[in-house]
Parts: sequence; C-alpha cells; structure tokens
Amino acid sequence: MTAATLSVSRNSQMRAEAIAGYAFAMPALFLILILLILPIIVVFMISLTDYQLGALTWSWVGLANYAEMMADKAFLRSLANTFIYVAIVVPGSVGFALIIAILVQERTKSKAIYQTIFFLPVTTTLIAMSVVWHFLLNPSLGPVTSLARALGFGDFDVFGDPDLVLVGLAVIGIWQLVGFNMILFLAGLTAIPRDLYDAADIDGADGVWDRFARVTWPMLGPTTLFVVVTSTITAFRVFDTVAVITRGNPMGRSDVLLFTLYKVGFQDFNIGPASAMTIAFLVFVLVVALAQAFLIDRRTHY
Amino acid sequence: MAPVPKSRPRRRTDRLVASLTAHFFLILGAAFILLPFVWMLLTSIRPASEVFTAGFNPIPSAFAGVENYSEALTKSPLLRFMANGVFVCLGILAVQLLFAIPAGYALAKLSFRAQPLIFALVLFGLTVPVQVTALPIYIALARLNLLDTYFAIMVPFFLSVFGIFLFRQFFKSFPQEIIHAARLDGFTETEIILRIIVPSAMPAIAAFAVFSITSHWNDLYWPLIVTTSPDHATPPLGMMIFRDQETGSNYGALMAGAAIITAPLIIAFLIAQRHFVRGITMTGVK
Amino acid sequence: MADLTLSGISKTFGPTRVLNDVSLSVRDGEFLTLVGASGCGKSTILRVIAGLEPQDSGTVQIGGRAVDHLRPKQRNVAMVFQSYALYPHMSVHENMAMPLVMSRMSLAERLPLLGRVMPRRREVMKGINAEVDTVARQLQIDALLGRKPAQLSGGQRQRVALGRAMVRHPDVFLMDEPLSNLDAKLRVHMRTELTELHRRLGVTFIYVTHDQVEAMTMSDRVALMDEGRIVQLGTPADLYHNPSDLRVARFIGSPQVNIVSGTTQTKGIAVSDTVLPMQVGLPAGQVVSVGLRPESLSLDIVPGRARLTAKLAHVENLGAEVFLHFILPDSGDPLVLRATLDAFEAHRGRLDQAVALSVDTSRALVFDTAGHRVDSTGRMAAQRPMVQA
Repeated sequence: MTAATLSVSRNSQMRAEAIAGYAFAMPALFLILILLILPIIVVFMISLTDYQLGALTWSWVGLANYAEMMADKAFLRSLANTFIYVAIVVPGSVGFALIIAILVQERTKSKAIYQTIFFLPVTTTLIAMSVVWHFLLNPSLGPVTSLARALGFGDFDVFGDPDLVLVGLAVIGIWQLVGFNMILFLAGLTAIPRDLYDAADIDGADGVWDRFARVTWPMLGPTTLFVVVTSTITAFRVFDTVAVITRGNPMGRSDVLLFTLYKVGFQDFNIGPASAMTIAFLVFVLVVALAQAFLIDRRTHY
Repeated sequence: MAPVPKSRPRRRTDRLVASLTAHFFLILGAAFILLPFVWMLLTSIRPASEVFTAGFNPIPSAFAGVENYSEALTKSPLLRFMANGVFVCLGILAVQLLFAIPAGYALAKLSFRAQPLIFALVLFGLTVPVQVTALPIYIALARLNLLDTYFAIMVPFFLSVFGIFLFRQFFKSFPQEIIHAARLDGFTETEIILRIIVPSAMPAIAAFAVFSITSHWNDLYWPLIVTTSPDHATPPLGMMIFRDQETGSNYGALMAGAAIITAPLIIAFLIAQRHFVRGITMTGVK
Repeated sequence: MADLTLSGISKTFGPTRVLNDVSLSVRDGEFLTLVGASGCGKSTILRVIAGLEPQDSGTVQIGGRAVDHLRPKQRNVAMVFQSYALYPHMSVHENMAMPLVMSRMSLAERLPLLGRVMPRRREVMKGINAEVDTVARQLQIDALLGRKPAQLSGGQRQRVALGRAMVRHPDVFLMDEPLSNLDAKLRVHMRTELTELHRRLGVTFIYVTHDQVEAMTMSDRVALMDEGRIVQLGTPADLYHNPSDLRVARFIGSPQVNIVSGTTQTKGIAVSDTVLPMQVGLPAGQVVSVGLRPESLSLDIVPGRARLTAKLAHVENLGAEVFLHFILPDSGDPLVLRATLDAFEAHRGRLDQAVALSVDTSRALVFDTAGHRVDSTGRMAAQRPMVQA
C-alpha cells in the first residue's frame, strides 16, 4: 500500500557503490585508453599513411604499406622462419614437458629437485643465457662443438649454418619453455583422480602404455590444449635469442617476425610498413586467442 | 615406508627397473637444462688463456674467478645496469599495483554501469602483446622528447591488464559477507581496500610481484627500442652492451657478467621457489 | 532499541521476484524469526533492512524513522553472518573493536601511521578497548582476544561475531543463519545462549533460519516465508497448532504433519475407511487435505473418536518415545504416530495386524485444494491480519 513511499531511485548504498566503482576503475581505464586502445587505433591509422618519424605532413596511401609488406621478400622470409621455429618449438617443448612431468610425478624424494632444475631456465634472463649458449655452440671454442669433434661428428657451426640456425634457436627455445610447460602438466596430472588409475588397474589396463593411453592422455586433454596454445604464442614472439645470437644471419635464415619488425620500425624507421606488420602481428595473435576461446568452449562438451 | 597394497602386486625388481629408467631419462634432461649454467660458472672462473685452448675440458686448471669477476664489474657498468633494473622493476610494480588493485576490486565487488565494458577491455588487453603498441608509444615518447629516460622504459607497463584481471579473479572469491560486515561497521570503500582487501590479498600480490619483476627484469624488446645510452640500460640491455665490448676477447669475464646478471633472480628463485612457480605460471591459470 | 516496520517491500533479481510486497512490523525488544526454505527471500529481507541491498519499492522504518536513504553504517543495525564474516587478518580484539573505531574516530585518526600521532586517538582507543573487554568477558572470549579468526573453533568464531555486533549497541540485531555452520551439539547449546543473550540485552532481534526447530524454540514470533511472501506470522504455538496454510503445516513440526486426502460429506470428512466428524463449511463432495499431527493419533481406543484402520510398516524407536509408521490400506498414504514407549509396549502384541487408530479431530487441520485452511479455527487464522500496526 505504501509502495510509493520510496522514490524508487537506487538507495544510497548502491549510489555510493557506483561512485566508488567509477573512482577505482577510472585510473586504470585511463591507462587502458592511452596505453592500449589509442595506440592500436593510431598504429592502424599510420599503416594507411605515408607518415615518417618527425614529419609534419603525411597523406593517406590506402593499403600501399600492406602491399609493400606483402611484396617484401624479407618480411615473407621472416614469417616463414617464424612458422618453422614455432613448428619445432611447440611439439618439442610440449612433448618433452609431458614426458618429464609424467616421470617427475611418480618420483617421491627427488621430485622437488627435478622440478627446481627444469624450472630454472624459466626464471633466468634469457639474454644472458643466450650469450652462454652462443659460446657453448661456438664453432671453434665451444665445448659442445669440441666434444662433438672429439666424438667424430666433424665440425659444425650451428648458428652459421643456414640449415641449422633455426634448429639451434629452437633448441634454446625448448630449453627455456620446457620447465614452464612441465609445471602446467604437473598441475593437470595432480588433478587426475587416483581412483581412475585403480579402476583402470582392475579393468586390466595396467601397463605403462595402457595407463597413459586410457587415463592420463584423455584426462590431460584440456591441459594439453592450453599448453599448446600458450607455447605457440610464446614461440611466435621469439626475439631475444635472435637479437643476441644471430641478428637474422646467416643470409636472413634466422630473421623472425618480431626481429624484422624491430629492424624495419626502430632501426630503419620505416614507419608505414612497420605499422602494417604490427597490424599483421596483432591479427595473428587475435586469431590464436579466438581459436583458444573457441576450443576451450568446445572442450567443455566432453 | 609401509608397503602400500597395490591392485596388482608388482615385483620389486620391476619397480626398480622402472624407477632407474625414469631417473636415467630425467638425469639426461636435467643435464641438458643445467649445461649452460654449469658451463657459465666454470668458464667464469677459468683463466683466459685456457678458454681458447680448452676444447672439452670441464675443470679449470687454475682459479681465475677473482680476475674474471672484477673485470666484468669494472670494464662495464654492470652494477649500474643492475641498479637500473631494480629501479625500473620496482617502479613498474608500484604503479601497476596502485592502478590494478582498485580496478580489480571495482570489477570484482562493486556494481556500476560501465563495469562489463571495462572488463571486456581488460580481457581484450590480455591478448595484445607489448610489441603491438610499441610503435605508437615510441612515436609519442619521441614527440615528447622523453626517449632514453627511466619514464620511457617504464611507461608502457604502468598498465598491467593481467594484474587487473588477476586481482579481479582473486577478489571475486573473497567472501561478500566480510565486505558487507565492513560496510555495516562503517568502512568507506577505500578503507575496505586498504584495511581488508590488501592484507588478505598478500599471496596474490606476492605472486603478481614475482611475475611482474621477472618479466621486466628479463625484458629486452622495449628497453632496446627506447634506450640509447648505457645510463638507463637494464640488465639484458647491459648484457648486450657488455657482450659487444668483449666479443672474442675474454669469455671468462663475459661469463662472469652473465652470472652476475642472472644471479639475483636465480637466488631469489631458489629461496622462494613456490612463490616463483606460482607467480610465473599464473599466466597459465587464466 | 527500536521497533521496526517494513511496508510493501518488493525486490527482483533479474527475472525472479525475490520479495513480493512484504509488510511486517516487529515490536521493540522482540525476537522475531524469519523461517523458510532456501530461496524464499528471508536473507534478502535482512539485507534490505541493513541497507546492503536496495529494495525496488517499499519502506523500512527503524524506531519510527524511515531509513531507506541511509547507508548501512548509519542505520545502527548489527548483523551476524552465516560465515561470521570476521576480518581474517585481524585479531579477535581488532575485529570486535572495528565498529567502534569506525564510528568514533575521524578519518585522519584511522590512518595507519599518521593516525597514531593524532592527539585524541589514544583516549578514544582506551575507551574502545575497555568496552571490547567488557563484551568479551560477557561472552567468555576474553582469553582469545589476541588470536586470529583462523585459530578459533566454529563456536568461538560465532561468539566473536556476536561480540562485534554487541559492542556497537545497535537498535536491531540481524542474524543470518548464525548457527548453521556449527555442529549439532553446539547448535543446541547456542540456541539457549542466544535466547539468554536476547533476554539480557532486551534489543530487537531479527533472526533468519531454515531450521524450524530454531524458529520454534527461540522466537517470540515467527514469520514463515515462501516465494518472497510472508505466509503466516504468529507465535510458535500459533504456527504449529493453527497454520493458515498447508505449506505452514508441512514446514513446522517434526516429524512432519500427516496429510491424508479426504472428501467432504454432510456429516463430516470421509478419510480412508472412516468419516471424521468435522464441519468445514464446504459443500459435500469436495476433495480436501486433512492434516493430522503425529500426536493427534493414538493407539488407545478413545470413546467417541473416529477410528482409522492402518497397518504398521516400521518403527523408529527414540528411547523415551516411539514413532510408528503406518500405511493406510486403501490409499497407501503413510501415517506417522507419536507414542510413548509404554503405550507402544502395551499394544505391541496386536501390531502385526491392521489396527484401529483413534483420531483427535479437534486438532485436525483441513485444507482445500489450494492449500488454504478451511475448518472453522483455520478460517480465523487465515483472516488474521498479517501486519500488526
């Protein structure tokens, strides 16, 4: 009967909450706008112009920068190199991580030690360790090459050989990533109920392979998917090792996308094509993210 | 240890063989992982003469650690690079927390109109790597004459959408009843953050700090772009500068330099392993 | 201390209407319980009273003053939460002092470091500490003041939550299922302790629970809620003996009331093999539900009472008393009878066959197909105004 007594405006608590909400979110929103959204818009706009650093005038050039990018052999080569690198690092780091995780999982006393060792490269400064790797594989002084020579494999120069250079970089990539993936797999393994293994035992699936194929692998499906996606993104952004060790050499055989982007944009200051590459890079990253969202959505069905 | 009854009793020798095989492969893997670390340390104490003749000879004939390390520290301002690294990392972390904690709280526990939009922007931001925004931010910094400053090195990272996301997730699980109780007790929303949320979010803050510090201590791409003088160089950049000075001359000192630069994080990792694993793999929890 | 009036409170969460025109008036110093199944809106009422959630329409008055425009802290109500909602990083003492710190210190004085140099702070803090100590002694938690909530047992946390509510001397205590996280034994103990506390403080208590035993044993009055409405408001005895609605009859009482179907006749209500001599003012031939409390059935043959033939299915022996589960032979309806152990022993010999049970029709409850009470007393109960002005 007295429903009208309250002027149905939100009550004071709700108003206070909304005010606080805006007050707390605004600073972050401001940063999101000027450090994320605005730059993306700007880089997209620049990619459609002939803007040069420091220039006072510029004009629209439509898709000319994209056309130049697609005609640029160096860019296409770096794209191909990046995909080859990803194609080695992802299966390598995921596969080894899975094996290591399964082996480590069953250890009792030594589990912690192995975990520490395998995780060590994840925390260390990759630049410094790239310098060490460069030295290890140095064709004349490196201990690994010396050992190989002593064992009769002959001379080889990993980072100087056009056919080996991406493999060499990928080995470092795997070396750095495998511990990270191992931890994710260990988390996935711990989440598998012990009962399932007991049930598999009773059902007769008690061999190492059977247990893996019937229980571990299916149960790890979501984890594996996730590890593959994060590894792909990480591998796709390879930069540090190339910048320190090869700088794209020999003959551009180790040019990767971000290193080319860096050279074109920040060494040659070729702003137009660099922004076109940036957009291409963003598109790729978003495609992977969307694929991940789609796959994760799908995986809830089983 | 008491023998645990298994569904199928396995013979002891079977288990021993399985265990030995596992250890064999794990030790092989561990050796591969440790190889660069061990060689870095061995070379850093090896006399310069031996480096060039060594071949595969693990144990140094004489201890030259003092020479190599002091050369690394004097030839190049390594300590300056490290101090820069500490300053940059702590500066970035402080600003990130200052912006991300209130935003995370607002997104998790307060309701207001723009909330879903802001959260959508945060989710979008999670997928955008720094290399995408590097070019326009570089141009802006160049226009403002701010290149080669600490501010330039730090500014793109003042925003951590990952931090906002992480704190939002963490605060989501914080009991709403406690916040209600605090409102009844007369806390303002700011005081709820400072006196209730922050103290109980310490594990999340620690994990985020580890994540943030390791990624910015190790970052090369952005410092390489905006830094031109060694004055503001961070450790990875310093390592490159040092390497370019030393190429072909003294591997002992170079390895000593690498050891010095990687030492802080490795030591911190060995001391607080659980925090590190948690903090760094947090990206895998989203 | 104050009375409290809700008028026409409605609230929707998205498409669901959680509160539907709820009006209620609580007397000063009364212990009123809101009881109902989960999702009936009882906790939402509490939050609306506290100002933690806004209502869509309607008014809350505390002590004759509308408080709708006031923030939670300005309403001078205290709330004890189901999870206790203690601040996890603060000691018991800090938890209990918090409402006083917040109300008596200025913003500057509350600042972490700067606050310490404010001149008035020490004196205020001293007063607060004294009050916390007094309340802690009353609740016998003075030995725990230095501990953190994680170091306390469930019962101790409960007391701290009560203490935090008590120190501020609120006009109204709001309690949201405060006993549901305790184990059974402690729950029984805390029931008496809360009633005792209420008597001692003499403050208005509004207590929310889904447990009808708590509602029956502690309250002055009980409001039974269903689907966002108050179905019946009355004393515990009222709700038990004189439910206005089938839902109330079913919810209150353990074991549950027996519901058997019947048909009205000119002389009474036909149930199973008998006719209960009752007048309900309905035309003959209507289907009704008859509610029989387990104690209105008896094994002894009482002259003048209707008799129902039933077959014993199984026996629940609780020691002093016995619940006998019967089945009505034609309909298969279950029927629970509460008997003393002696009565059970006396009749044990003949229970292997169908027996006649005496029905006390004066205590039978009759409901129409819509669930409304239709026998004479029930009519009155249903018509009783729910809002007591």
